[in-house]
Amino acid sequence: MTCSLRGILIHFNNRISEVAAACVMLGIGVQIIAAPVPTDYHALDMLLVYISGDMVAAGFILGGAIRMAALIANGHWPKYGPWIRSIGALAGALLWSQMFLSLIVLPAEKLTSLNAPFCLVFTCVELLSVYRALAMRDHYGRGV
Amino acid sequence: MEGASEKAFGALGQFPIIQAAVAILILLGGVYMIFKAYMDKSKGPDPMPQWLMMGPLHDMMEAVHDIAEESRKSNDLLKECRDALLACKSALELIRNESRLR
Repeated sequence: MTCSLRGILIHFNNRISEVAAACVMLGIGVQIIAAPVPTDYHALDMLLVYISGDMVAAGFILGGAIRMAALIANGHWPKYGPWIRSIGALAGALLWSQMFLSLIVLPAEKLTSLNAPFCLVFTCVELLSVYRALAMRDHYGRGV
Repeated sequence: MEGASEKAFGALGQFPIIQAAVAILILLGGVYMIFKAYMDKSKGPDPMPQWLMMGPLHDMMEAVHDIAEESRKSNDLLKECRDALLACKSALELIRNESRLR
């Protein structure tokens, strides 16, 4: 992979949605670390019932980093790479669905963010990524 | 029994149940996708989608363009060589004619 825009696009090909999801996970993790959880993150309400804010941030960063590593090393881990991507996408789908649920149950006056559609779309795209990572892993000897 | 279950659900609240139901639904969806991926893969490779070929085709077009450009440069160089050789030929002819006159 060359570090030009064209090289990056050729390397990630149609996996760019997974790269975007991994980046968003990393970004959310960094944001929670930068502005810890007592801040008004309604999307995390349901997750915070069971796990602490630090653990949520660690989970996002770990999940995002592992997915990104699998995507960058695409084709070099033919055995484990697609599984890592697939399991990462499933974990992502779980997180996005819980965040979506947290947002849609909020009363109208508390619903100040526009993230609910993003979370719903990410949930669906992640489920499709689970399929794609495993079903098309032999094309050109790499996960497509 | 009904009273006990009502109390249990009441203590738990309704939302964790919905939350767990959604999580289970997503997990089942994911597991279904994994199984479907395996079943689809065992059918053998699908015919290559056309959009996957656009990258190599684009690369090929770029390579053809580069080759054409190189050929044009080579052609220009050959023309310059020909001109130089013609100039040399003329000079040699002039020298020969000069030497004959003497």
